[in-house]
Amino acid sequence: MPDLEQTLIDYSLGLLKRKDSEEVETLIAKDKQVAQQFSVVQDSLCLMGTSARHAKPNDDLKARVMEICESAKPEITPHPLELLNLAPALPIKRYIGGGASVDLGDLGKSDLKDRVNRLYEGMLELRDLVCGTSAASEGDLSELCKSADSISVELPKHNSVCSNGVSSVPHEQAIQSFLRTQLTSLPSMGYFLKKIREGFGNAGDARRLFYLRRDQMKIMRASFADLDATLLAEDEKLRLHGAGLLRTKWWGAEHSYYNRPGKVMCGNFFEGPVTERCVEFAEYDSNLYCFANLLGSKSENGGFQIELDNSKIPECVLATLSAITSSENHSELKDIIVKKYHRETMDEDGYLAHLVKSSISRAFQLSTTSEALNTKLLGCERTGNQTLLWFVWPAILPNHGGGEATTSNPLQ
Amino acid sequence: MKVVEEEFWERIATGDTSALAELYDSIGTKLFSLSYQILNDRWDAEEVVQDAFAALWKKPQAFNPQKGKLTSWLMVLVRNRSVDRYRSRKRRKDTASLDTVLEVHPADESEDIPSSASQTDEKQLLGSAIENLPPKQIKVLKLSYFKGLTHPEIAQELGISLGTVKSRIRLGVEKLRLSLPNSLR
Repeated sequence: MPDLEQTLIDYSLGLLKRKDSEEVETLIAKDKQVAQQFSVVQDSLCLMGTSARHAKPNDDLKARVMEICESAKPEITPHPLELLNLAPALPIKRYIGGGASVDLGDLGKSDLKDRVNRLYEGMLELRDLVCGTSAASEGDLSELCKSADSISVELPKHNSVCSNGVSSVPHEQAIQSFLRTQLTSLPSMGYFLKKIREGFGNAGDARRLFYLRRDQMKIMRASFADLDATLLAEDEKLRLHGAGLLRTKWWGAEHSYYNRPGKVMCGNFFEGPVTERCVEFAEYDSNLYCFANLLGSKSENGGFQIELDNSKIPECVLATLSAITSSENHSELKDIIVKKYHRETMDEDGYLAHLVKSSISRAFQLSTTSEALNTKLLGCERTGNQTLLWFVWPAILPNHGGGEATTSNPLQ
Repeated sequence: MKVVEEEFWERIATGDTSALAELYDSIGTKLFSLSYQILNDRWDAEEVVQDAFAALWKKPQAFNPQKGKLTSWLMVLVRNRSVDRYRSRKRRKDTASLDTVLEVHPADESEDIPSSASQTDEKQLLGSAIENLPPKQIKVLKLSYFKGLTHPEIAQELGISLGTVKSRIRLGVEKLRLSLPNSLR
């Protein structure tokens, strides 16, 4: 039966359309002979796969695989009841990011504009040194170590960002854009660069730098429209970003807000898209970094757990970050989250919370940032000895028309 | 072998993490090599392998032992996810040339020494299976398998008819099948 064999080969290679794939699946399920033939086709193709040139994964891959399995316990942290009764009003048109973007000129005459440009150039320099084809990715950090000192990445010092010319910026939104480039992924990047510079790094640190650098550049482009217009145009294209991207990145990762490292665990992560475009993903990511930095710096051991759920709140995705905290640190976190915005007195922690509030206000088209807090679209609560930070984001509905095309892969 | 793999799967389905660790030890490097050959990017390949194991752990019933071997299923899963990712990257004009992926790679000197006789046998079996294929069939199979090109894309790339592409793939797979041990045919 050459036609059937051809169909089974095409099916295994992901070449069939969805409808045809479904027909093959039905046939395999009800006809034992077809199932047997399918099994042989798969084994034959497996031989092709085994012919791939030998490449050894980094040693920490197995550890990450095992961490995934050992920590995949759903909902370790119980959600407060008030959170489960949320039913937020959704805007008619779904927010797809980009609303926080300003031009570099909006930073005024300050040297902040130069700092942003220099930082972006530093990220470009770092790109080839930590990418998946770099020597560092294979565990050879000599080139990265050598270059790490000369890369023009100006790392912020803790509690110095807000006092460094920020208050003279006339444009409110520009202050937020600038701080987003300084306070989200950059502090953790500083931690890993320092490790590398001091000769304590390994391939896993290079991998973490790869993610942080990529996120940093996306966040920077989403914050300043004229920073890299060519790549921003790519970021603005419709391209679904799944929760899996976040899970893979955060699972078992070491994260550090300045010099407070801790381990990140991932609990329940739903399967499906979270954002529609890179610019939206950058904003979502930025919110996660803000809360990760706040919570990590106040948790008992620097570590925390992330969960993403799309079943608790109608047509919304709920992101929760939880960690064991002392009651003093919990109170402090709660104060930071509920604190009203005062430009003159706002410190870095306050801005981390404010950036998330602003983002949620944009996503739900609220008139004030305090409305986001009052309607529980973000918040901070205590459950047992843990602090729970959360924010809510409009979900992408199942009948969404666009997005990333994939092979009609029957096995995924 | 199939029985052993079914045992792995049954243990994984009951939440036995040591079974997953053993499965990783036996096939992790092969899966990574496959993904790395397609993507030519270490971080991407690691992500694909990590996600494949996570998918199996989270939803073991996605694999059905009635439909074949667990390792074959995982290889197909990793291959298809890698190809998806490769295509996505290609759309963003961020990909290596065809030649990079299709060049013949000599055995890596640092390659692990097979730890058992069965591994040696498997390599010999595999070597002869691929060697026995006519070069034209190998080329079409590689474009399809490692590059994820569709039949029309391969036809265009090589300047041959669609029917020729299909028949070369089918004949290639048939010859690979003949190299499988009788018990698996």
